[in-house]
Amino acid sequence: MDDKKVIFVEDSPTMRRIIMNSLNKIGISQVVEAENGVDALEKIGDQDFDMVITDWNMPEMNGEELVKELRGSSKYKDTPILMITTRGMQDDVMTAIKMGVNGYIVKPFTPEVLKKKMSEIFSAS
Amino acid sequence: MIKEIKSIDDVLAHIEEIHKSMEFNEELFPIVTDLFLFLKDMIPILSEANISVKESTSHLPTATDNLNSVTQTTELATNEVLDKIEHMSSQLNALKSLIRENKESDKQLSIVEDVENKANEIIFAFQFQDITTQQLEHTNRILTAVYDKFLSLFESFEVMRSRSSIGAEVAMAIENEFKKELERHKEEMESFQKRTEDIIHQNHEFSQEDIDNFFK
Repeated sequence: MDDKKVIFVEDSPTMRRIIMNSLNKIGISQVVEAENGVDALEKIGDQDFDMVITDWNMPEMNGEELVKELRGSSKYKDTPILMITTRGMQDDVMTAIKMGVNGYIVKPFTPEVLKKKMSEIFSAS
Repeated sequence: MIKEIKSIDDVLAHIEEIHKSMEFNEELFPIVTDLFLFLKDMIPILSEANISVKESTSHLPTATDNLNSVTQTTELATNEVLDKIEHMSSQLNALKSLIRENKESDKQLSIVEDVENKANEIIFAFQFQDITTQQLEHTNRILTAVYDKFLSLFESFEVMRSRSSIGAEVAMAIENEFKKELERHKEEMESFQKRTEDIIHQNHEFSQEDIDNFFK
């Protein structure tokens, strides 16, 4: 996975450090971080990313709004999206699937789970 | 014929009908008008009070559950981190001995890897910070909503006081009753104050230096 370029969107600075740490350990060095959906869209711009990892509950633009925005664009309609969130209810997972996310991880998670989920998504895409 | 009363609007419409039917009695008219004005103000307030109490009662346990969960999550994560740090410390001690004796390089390497893994696990244990933050934010939203509900109720009460003389008298009577109740249940009130007291007393204007000065 070392050739992949990933953007992750997370409002908690602690979580950003944790995710950045684990992505580096997985071997992904091309990582861009964003604080919320608005920040993510600005940073995505015209760049190409192999995966978007996003939290759900965030200020300004949450994960749900971001996913809808990306799925509505021609460039990102098929880009793999992995959601990492504290929302662990069945309804939340169903909503996420309907939005078009490719994977869903409930916090707290382990680096092994993140690696496994990312590998599965990359293999399927 | 009296219309069937099913809602607050029906009650108010009914009051209005009675009010209109009494308009011809000149002596009674100002008193009745004042009384009807009071009733018109009071009924929605009572209805709102009922809703506020019901909603607050139903949401406050969630806030309490959230706070309990924050306490548990924080404690679990803290213990997890402490366990791992203790393990790392003991492993590093063992490693120190092996390095001093300059032996078992394979074991030295395996200890380093173990310590590295534990360090990574500690990093992941800190996810509790994000989880508890969200639980506290939810609790904060619940408490703010309850506060806003009661604030709007008190504002309505003030409107009732200003719109009719009966309203003002009733408001005064309620306040007097409240004062009497306070006096009657002084012990209970003191116990409530004690139960809700902030035991942390975080006063940032009072430094460690200030405390130390008391001991001089």
